Amino acid sequence: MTHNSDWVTVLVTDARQRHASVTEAVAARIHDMLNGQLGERQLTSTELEHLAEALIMDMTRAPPVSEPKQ
Amino acid sequence: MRIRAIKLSWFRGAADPVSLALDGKSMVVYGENGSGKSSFVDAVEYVLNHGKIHHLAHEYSGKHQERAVPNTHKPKGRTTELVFKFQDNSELRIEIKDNGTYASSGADAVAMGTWDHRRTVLRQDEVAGFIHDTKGGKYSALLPLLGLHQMEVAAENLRHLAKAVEKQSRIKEARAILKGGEARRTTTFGSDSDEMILRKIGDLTAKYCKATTVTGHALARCEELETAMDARMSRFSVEQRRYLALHDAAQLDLKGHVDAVRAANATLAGVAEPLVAEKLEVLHSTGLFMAKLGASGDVDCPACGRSIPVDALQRHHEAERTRLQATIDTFNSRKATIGTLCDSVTSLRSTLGKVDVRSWRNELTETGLADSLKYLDGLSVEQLRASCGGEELGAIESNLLPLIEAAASSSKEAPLDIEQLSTEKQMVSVAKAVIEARELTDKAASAEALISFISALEHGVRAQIRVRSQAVVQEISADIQAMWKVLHPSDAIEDVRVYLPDDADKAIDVGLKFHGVRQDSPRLTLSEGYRNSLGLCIFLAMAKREAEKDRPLFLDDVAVSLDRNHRGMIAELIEKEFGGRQVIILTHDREWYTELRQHLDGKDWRFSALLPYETPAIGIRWSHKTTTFDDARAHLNERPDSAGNDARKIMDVELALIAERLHVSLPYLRAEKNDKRTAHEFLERLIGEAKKCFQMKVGKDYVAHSNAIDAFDKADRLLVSWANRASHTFDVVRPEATKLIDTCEKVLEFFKCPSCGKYVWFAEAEGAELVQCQCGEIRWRYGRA
Repeated sequence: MTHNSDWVTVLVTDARQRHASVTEAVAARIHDMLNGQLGERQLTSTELEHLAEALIMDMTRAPPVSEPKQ
Repeated sequence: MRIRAIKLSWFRGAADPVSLALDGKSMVVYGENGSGKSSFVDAVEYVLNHGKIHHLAHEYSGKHQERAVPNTHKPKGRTTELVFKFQDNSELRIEIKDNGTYASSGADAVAMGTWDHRRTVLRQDEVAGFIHDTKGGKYSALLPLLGLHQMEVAAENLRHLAKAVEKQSRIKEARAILKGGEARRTTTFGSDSDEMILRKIGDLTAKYCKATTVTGHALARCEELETAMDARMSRFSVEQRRYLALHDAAQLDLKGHVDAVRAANATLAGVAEPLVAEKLEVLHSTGLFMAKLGASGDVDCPACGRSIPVDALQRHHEAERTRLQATIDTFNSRKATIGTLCDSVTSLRSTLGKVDVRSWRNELTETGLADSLKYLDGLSVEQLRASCGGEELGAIESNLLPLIEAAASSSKEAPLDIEQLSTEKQMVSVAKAVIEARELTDKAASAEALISFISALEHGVRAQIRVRSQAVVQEISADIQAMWKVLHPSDAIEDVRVYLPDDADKAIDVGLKFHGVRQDSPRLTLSEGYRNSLGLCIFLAMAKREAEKDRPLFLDDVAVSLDRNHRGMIAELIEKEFGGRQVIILTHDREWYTELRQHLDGKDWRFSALLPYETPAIGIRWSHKTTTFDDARAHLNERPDSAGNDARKIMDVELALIAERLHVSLPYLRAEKNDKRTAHEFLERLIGEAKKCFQMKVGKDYVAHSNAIDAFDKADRLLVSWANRASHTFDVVRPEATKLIDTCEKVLEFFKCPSCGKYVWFAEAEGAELVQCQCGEIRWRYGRA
């Protein structure tokens, strides 16, 4: 979205710190969207519905389990 | 990219091809009203706005601009076409078809369609448009300059996304269901906590289930418990099962549910009726408001009509939205209450429909409740869900409550263990609802957290827009202030600027200091002329932001409401701030045109005059002269007196400016007469001073410019005789008017050097009190006067 995508990272990180129950999957998806589609054009209502659905699913998704260290 | 030429064919006022020949230079175009000069600006707008011309989009043409874009008298077979030629020899050609569509070809590299129309063209009726616009409108106008369009789109998307999540997660419905479930829980478990309820379920599990089959999940445990209880019931005798069914029916709180629906209906009636009336009133006022806003740009409250700040209106709208939301919550609550009643009715019908209670039903028929049973069997639950008013509730009360009372009466004789099993099964059912509600609560909380997160991001993006806007707005303000100072060097209006109001998002306003007092809006203090002047500064400041791109500027009759002093400074402002840009000024103001022609350097500027418009078939035509005498010649055939009078008026304007430039001293007259001197008065003084001051070079020496003095004298005599006749007795014939025009035109030519083409006042010689042309061939020694 901006010339400086670091700013988006800071924005999402700050917001997530204030909303601890928001999952990593949600934060990651929103971060990607802010750097892409969300800033490009106004989304249609169908696109917004699909995105909302995906985010609601993401809220129930547990963070990926990291590989056990050998 | 500079423009070399704009060629119009059968577009707007143009007939056969007519070109605005810029050759990459800036240009001042003069033309009387209706001469067709704005057709060139329309052509630019047509390209920049992808086939739309804003001032044509009114109720008559609307979407059908094909009626207004081509020349109304375009012959069949001719094409409406625009051709833009650029400095790099590329060319953009637009062919406009009869159905209003168009096809473009060539000059892809120029991408003229990406130029921002609002930074390229300023028309007379748009000069103060920015100032009169709402704060939101100003913000939209400035947004492309701020380079934050993508961030604004992202913020809007986030706002809509939060709403989509709210809708998708059905938070409101979930809350209503939870509210309905609360009543059942209190009836069955009193004030027991979730843990206590689960403990009771654990006790029942121990009582009814085998230890080996018990699972850990509470909901699954309840389901196992129900299965175990059903299995035990299946082993009951017919009589025991009948007792059990009747006990279940007796437990239904149908009366409570009917009362709840009735209360919800009453609440809704109280809310809905005045609401509908009020909404209608608001709709009516809003209609008036919109019409008024479109005409004047004022922001008046749609309810009371008083002028209020946009942000106050927004707060009012927000309060209204909240109130409507509360009404929707009431609707949802009623829906949930009806749902509970319908569930109870379904349960009753299911219970009393069992084979085990058939004999009881037969007994009941004999006691006069046959109609009630018939009513229960025939009741459509779906219809009840859709419409549940007083009549339906009355029917339920009169028919079903006696059935429940009868069931309660019959179940009193039930053995104690059967009654206990029924009560405990009821507990399991409610416990299941409690567990499900807990999950629903978790889902709602999760959705609310998600919405809150998205809203926080939206606010974060808007905060970032504000921070970045602030920097750009300050730069633009600095430019506006510098430009304002040029136009109004000694006025008591200062610190003009655009700013971001603290109390509103997506808003920009204009502020200034008026006699040292800060004003939040120029509309509070500035006259129309000053507003236009400020509007011009704002446009130029915004256009300057794109200066590095060297895009042309078109100023169409923008100085109309400015007085002579302020108008005169526009040329200075444009030279100072836009010296490197191509600027095209179009004006119907002969005096300003003359002034610009005399003031601006011919090296960078061209000057052209349009002939008065005759007919659509003839179209737009250029005069071959840079002066405006062709305006006078246009009347020679039909109104020679008018032509003669025009020549005199042209000389009034031209000679006034020349006398000013040459420091020709004029006797002081009383009051307004100083500003209303005639060409004869100027010529008389010019002739007197020219004998000593106006010189031409002969060899190495300067001698009096006797040819010029003779021409001045001749013109003066004609002006006194024929021009006065033309003005007062209207009896000038065509040959006389022709001679008058030619003689006057010749006078003006003497002030321009035949060698270098510059005016005699082109250069001021230092310390010598004289002005001269560029090559020094002619000069005016005003120090001798």
